[in-house]
Amino acid sequence: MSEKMRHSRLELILSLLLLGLIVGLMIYASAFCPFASNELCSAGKLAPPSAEHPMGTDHLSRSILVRVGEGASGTLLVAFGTVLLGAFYGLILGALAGYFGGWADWLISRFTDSLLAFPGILMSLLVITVLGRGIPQLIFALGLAFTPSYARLVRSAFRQYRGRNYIKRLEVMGTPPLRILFVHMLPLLRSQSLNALGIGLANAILAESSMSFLGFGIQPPRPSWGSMLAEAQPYIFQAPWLALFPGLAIVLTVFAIFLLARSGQQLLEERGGAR
Amino acid sequence: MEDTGQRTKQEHHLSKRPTLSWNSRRGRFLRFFLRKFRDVAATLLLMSLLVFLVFYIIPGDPITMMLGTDARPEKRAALEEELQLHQPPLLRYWHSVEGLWNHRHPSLSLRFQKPVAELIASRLGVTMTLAILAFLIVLILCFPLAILASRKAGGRLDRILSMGTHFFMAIPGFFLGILLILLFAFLLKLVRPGYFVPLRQGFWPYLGSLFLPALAVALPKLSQAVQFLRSSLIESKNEDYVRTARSKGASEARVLFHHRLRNSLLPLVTTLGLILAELMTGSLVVEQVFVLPGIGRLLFTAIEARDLPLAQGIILTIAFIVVMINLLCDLISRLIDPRLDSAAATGGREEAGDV
Amino acid sequence: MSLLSVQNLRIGFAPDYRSILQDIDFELDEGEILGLCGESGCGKSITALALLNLLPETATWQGQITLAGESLEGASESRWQALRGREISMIFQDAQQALNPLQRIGVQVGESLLIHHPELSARERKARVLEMLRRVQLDSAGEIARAFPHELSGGQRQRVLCAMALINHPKILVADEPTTALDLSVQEKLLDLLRSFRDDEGLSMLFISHDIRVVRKFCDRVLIYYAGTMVEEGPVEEVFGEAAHPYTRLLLQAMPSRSPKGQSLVEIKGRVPASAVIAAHHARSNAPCIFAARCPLATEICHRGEPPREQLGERHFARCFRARELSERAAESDCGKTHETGEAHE
Repeated sequence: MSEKMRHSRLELILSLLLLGLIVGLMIYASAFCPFASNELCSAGKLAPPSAEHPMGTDHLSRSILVRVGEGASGTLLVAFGTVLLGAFYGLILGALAGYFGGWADWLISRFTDSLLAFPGILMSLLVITVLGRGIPQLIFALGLAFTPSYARLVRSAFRQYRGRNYIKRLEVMGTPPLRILFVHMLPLLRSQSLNALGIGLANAILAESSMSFLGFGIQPPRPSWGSMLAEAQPYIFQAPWLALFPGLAIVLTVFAIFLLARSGQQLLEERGGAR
Repeated sequence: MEDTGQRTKQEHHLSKRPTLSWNSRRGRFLRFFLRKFRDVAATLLLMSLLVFLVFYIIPGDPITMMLGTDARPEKRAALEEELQLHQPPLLRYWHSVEGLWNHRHPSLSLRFQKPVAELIASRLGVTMTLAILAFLIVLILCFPLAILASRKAGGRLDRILSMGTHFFMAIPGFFLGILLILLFAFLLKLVRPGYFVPLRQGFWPYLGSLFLPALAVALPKLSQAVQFLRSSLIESKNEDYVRTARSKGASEARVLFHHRLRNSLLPLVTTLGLILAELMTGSLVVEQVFVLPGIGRLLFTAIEARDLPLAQGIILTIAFIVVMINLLCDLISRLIDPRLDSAAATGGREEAGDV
Repeated sequence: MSLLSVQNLRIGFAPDYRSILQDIDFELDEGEILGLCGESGCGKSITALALLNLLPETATWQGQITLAGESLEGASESRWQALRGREISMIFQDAQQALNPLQRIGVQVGESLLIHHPELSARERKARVLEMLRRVQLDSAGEIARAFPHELSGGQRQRVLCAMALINHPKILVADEPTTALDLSVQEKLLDLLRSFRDDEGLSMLFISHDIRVVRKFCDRVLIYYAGTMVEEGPVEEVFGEAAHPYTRLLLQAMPSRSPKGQSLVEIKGRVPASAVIAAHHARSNAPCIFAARCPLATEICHRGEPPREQLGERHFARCFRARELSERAAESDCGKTHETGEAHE
């Protein structure tokens, strides 16, 4: 057991270090860096990594390090917004379906099923087509795409809670349903929510970078990891660092969040078990 | 725990009534199928309505949206006629869906001035091949990897594989595609970049040219499948029926293949269904990296050009395929799991708690 | 010589593998039904699993297990696989969980045949499966063979388990609480069935149950477990008639049908210690009687050192300082219960 604990703690430290690196880069780029993200540097176009520009420069001779750092803020903003919005919608839909059952459940389930028929970023593409491009639209589009999976999670949890005796007793005592839902049942979700939100956050980052890669996400001049990769594509053989560094930023951030969610849950479980 | 009356009655009725006859089983299957059919029909209807609403109702004036504010009036009128905007919304909805297969009044792409169905048909093959190839990669690799990892939970191999799968899950398909191109075309010089062989130049070269893109689509999803199968295999180790099999003298291999794997397969079917659907959209993005003439590039062109009929057609087609995949998964899991046969199974996948 | 003999069996769990079960010695003769009794948490089930080398991955056993003259200490896994289901079989408490939900009954019963008699043709195997299902009194065997576990009743499932365990005519059957989950009427029938296998084929059984009434009716000899050790063993009439260990006496008094009208049931105070406590206790040298803490008859000596293994009859042993005194007293006054109960309440 203790060996497993030690591994979890190691994973936790590793993930926090990686996240710290990304956040540090973000703060450095926005506050302390001598160059702005769109400033053209003297090193010239497609300069390889050097002491002055540790990640090199891009095809417009902008510093990639600064752009990667600044890209983090947009990505994280969209990712957090997406998860909050998706979890909020999902919570409401799932709670109603799970608690009331019957017709409400059938309707909501069909609704989430039809949303799930647009897997991954398809739903978001649909929304962006109509609403146009921009960060608020992107958050709404991705949030909608993340809703059904949260709704399903909440629905099955609430169906379970509903069968519990003390919830039944509350019903018999005439407690209003909304009070039961939000005061008595909602806190029960806590144990599952950390993991679900963590993995959701990681997936939201992946989705945002896909959208930006395709050109439907965060728009220039604001840098974003996804769009940097798209811009780098014509130059991958001449200057691979153009693609490598923003790509690595995505991978490491997402990886760190996966690790954080996993090790965090294991440590919490361990603590819960020891009590 | 058990009610005497009920038990003895059940014992009784099994011996008397032919409950296990083929006929009644078929009857139950028919009922299940009808219920599923109703759900699928409802989902398809809702889904197409959703697309229609998004495209034609919410944005206000679609003509302005498509042609811009400075279009000439006669062009506006032509487009209005084309989209049948003067007709009531319900009829318009019907035309927009029906136009996908109606040969006499097909929906036309604004950009290409060709029937939408024709455009989709010409491009769908590549995307589907890519998705299916990726799915095969997932299917073939996920079993051996999950079995290896589950052999000793928490062992060194398990930890390495777990790190590896988490890492690959963190790589977006398009970046993996770029990395693979760098590795195979730039460093190893095994393939030419932007290398694609159309189907008419032979099946195997065609498949070969899609292998790298398929790998880029498949690896992140493979990781997901491995993690899922691994944890259900580990759980199955402590099941009572596994102990029973051992008590009969079954070898470890027999226990694994005849008992644990089969029971772990059941939840995996649903997950694999979701994965196949995500491989479809994953292919759309990766096509962009490898410059493949698939449906994804068509979709992005359509969105870019505000070609609403084409975009709508493509999105509906993909959604239709996804719904069918889900239906197939439900049917398969019902065939594998005899318990669903008699239980009043409430439509479908309860535990799909993935986010 | 006895069919199965177990000497010095001890079982420990990860991570430190301290023994939570130790000093287990018993023998099982041909055609004998040996009962194994005790509260839950005493180590009955893991004893059973150790006999088939089926302990969970986190546990290990040490000691001598000898089956028909063959010592199984350190036997290879393939040797165990050859023995399981052919020489020694097991049935479990929860028949619902013990059957593979996705396989037809016929396949599951036939699997034991397939493993140990691969030379049989599919048709022969099917014939034997049907014959066996009929032998365990499942009428319409053909239908049952085609059914899935969830389509059967609890009694039927338990019979299927028996058929599965006994189809290769093993010498020994280890039955872990086979009747606990069943109704009384179904219980009777299952016991009759098991007894018929003993009478017809000379099957020996290790019968685990916490239900003293069933053990008393069904078994020839009985072992009483408490907290990972054997506290008393002997023929059923002697152990239950002249119970020598206070724990056995309390188990008897806690049994509803035995207490005369108007007299309240005796409850054994306290609980079986947790496994960590048991392990710590076993680790001490010259450990005092582990039951002393709950024993109503404990005297000062019980807390001081290891109780001796007293021989009370030809095959009747008890591990208690006061065993001799108690068994004599019990023999005098039939069961001497009224007296004892009073004392228990002191």
